[in-house]
Order: sequence, then structure tokens, then C-alpha cells
Amino acid sequence: MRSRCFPRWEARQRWKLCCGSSWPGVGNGTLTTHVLNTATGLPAAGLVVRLAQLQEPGPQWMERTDADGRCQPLLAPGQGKSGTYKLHFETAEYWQGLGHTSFYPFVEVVFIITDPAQKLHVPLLISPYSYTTYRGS
Amino acid sequence: FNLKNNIPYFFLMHHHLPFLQHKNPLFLLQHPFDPKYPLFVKVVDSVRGSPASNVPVKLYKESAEGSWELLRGLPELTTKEQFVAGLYKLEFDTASYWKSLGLNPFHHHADVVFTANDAGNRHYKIVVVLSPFSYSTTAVVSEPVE
Repeated sequence: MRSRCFPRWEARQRWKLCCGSSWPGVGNGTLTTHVLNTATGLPAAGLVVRLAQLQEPGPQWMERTDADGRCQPLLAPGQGKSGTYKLHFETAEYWQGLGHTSFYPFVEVVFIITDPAQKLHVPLLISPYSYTTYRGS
Repeated sequence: FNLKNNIPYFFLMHHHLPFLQHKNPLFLLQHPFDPKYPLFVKVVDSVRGSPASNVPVKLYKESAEGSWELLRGLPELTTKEQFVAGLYKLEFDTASYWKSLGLNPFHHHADVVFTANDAGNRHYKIVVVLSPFSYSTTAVVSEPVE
């Protein structure tokens, strides 16, 4: 007997896609990320990143990593609330752009923010058949 | 088949098989190198240097409607005839594992999403290495097998 579970990353768990760019030029966001291509040892530039928060409706938002594999702070000061968040990285699209196949169609990192005032850095290290993520600072 | 040539860091994996079977409902996914079982999953605790054998694992397959369907019934995945081409998701309840050890982890869970068998039937070894504030996953994929 098969049972239905939550759909891919949007509707049933009601992930809210967060606003991140309402503070242009602000360097001190509460959530940052960095994507590194470990096969080349270089930043993964131009990779699409989306942030969503569990169980709140909201408008769509996304960022794209720059030449250094980074993007604008994903949560501006005051926006981070305690809760469960998901970072979605469009990794297959990135690898295809470089002419590589990869194992994962995308990478999602689901993490918990307990202290909204804390600066969080959630980097992602990628290679075609592996990835690593950790909580940095 | 010599595991040492494939994943040298985990050369002791085959010794831990007896410990993997008793609690994990997907234990039939844990048979390595057996042509009957095309998907092998290994979860390692990198803090203690041990198998994380009681991490709850669920396997989903994307349905035609685009939702994730939980795959129950291990016989569905014990033969290559059942492990059809498609999009799969392994979901590891890592938070429960760390909480049972008295730790508050960073990640809510760990997902591994992958497309399988879209170019012939292959064998997949998915390895997940855990710590309370990080995880890493690697896939070893064979050539299509006859």
C-alpha cells in the first residue's frame, strides 16, 4: 500500500519563499550561504538558491550566486524568526551549464533557526556525485 | 568486488552489516554488492566513528503527479525489476538520532534526491556521514548491469 506524502518542496508543507533582497547593500544579514565547487576548487557562480520557511505562506523569492559563489544575505536583520527553513540549490542546472552530469537534480538543506539574532552561515560544497553542508559562522 | 578500491574510508562497512538490520525497517537496502539489491545505503556517525544504524530512513519515489510517494514494502526494492527508473528521495531523520544522544542538531533532517536507472539498471551506494552540525553524502554508481 502506497501512501502520499508531502509534495516536492512547495505546497503540502507550505514552505514560504522568503524575501531576501529588501535591504540592498546590507552586508550583515542573518543568513548567508556560499557554494563551492570542490571538483575545481572554485566558487560555484550563477547557481540559483531559494530559501523557504516551513508553514507560512508568502511571495516567491530567489537569488543567484555571484562569481564568488555567494549571494545577497538571505534574511535581512529582523527577518529571521525561529523556525525551520529550507535552502534549495539548483545544482543540476549549474553542472549542466558547465557541461557535466551530476547525480542530484537539486540539493535541499533543511535546518533549524533557534536564535533569530544569531548570524548563520550555511555553505554548500558540491561535486557531481557528492555534497557537504555545515553550519558555519 | 573489493570495497577498498571504491570507498577506502569506509573499508570496514561490511563488518557492520549485522548491526544495521535489527532496527532499520529498510534494512534490506543494506546489502552491498548483491546483484539482487540495487540500492545500498550507509549512514555513519563521524563524531563517534561508528555506524549510525538507528537513523530512521524513508525512501520516496516521485509519482506521475509530481508528489513524493512513500515506498513501503521492502520487496518493492529488493529486485532490480522493482527499482524502476525515476526520481527518488531518501529521507534521514538525523535530528531524532542526535536528540537520542542528548544533542540539539542544526539540521531538521537530511534528504538525498536522485534520479535512478534512467540509462540502464545500475547499482547505487549512497553514503551519508553525519555530525551534529554538518552532513555529507556521496554516491557510487555502477555502470549499467545486465
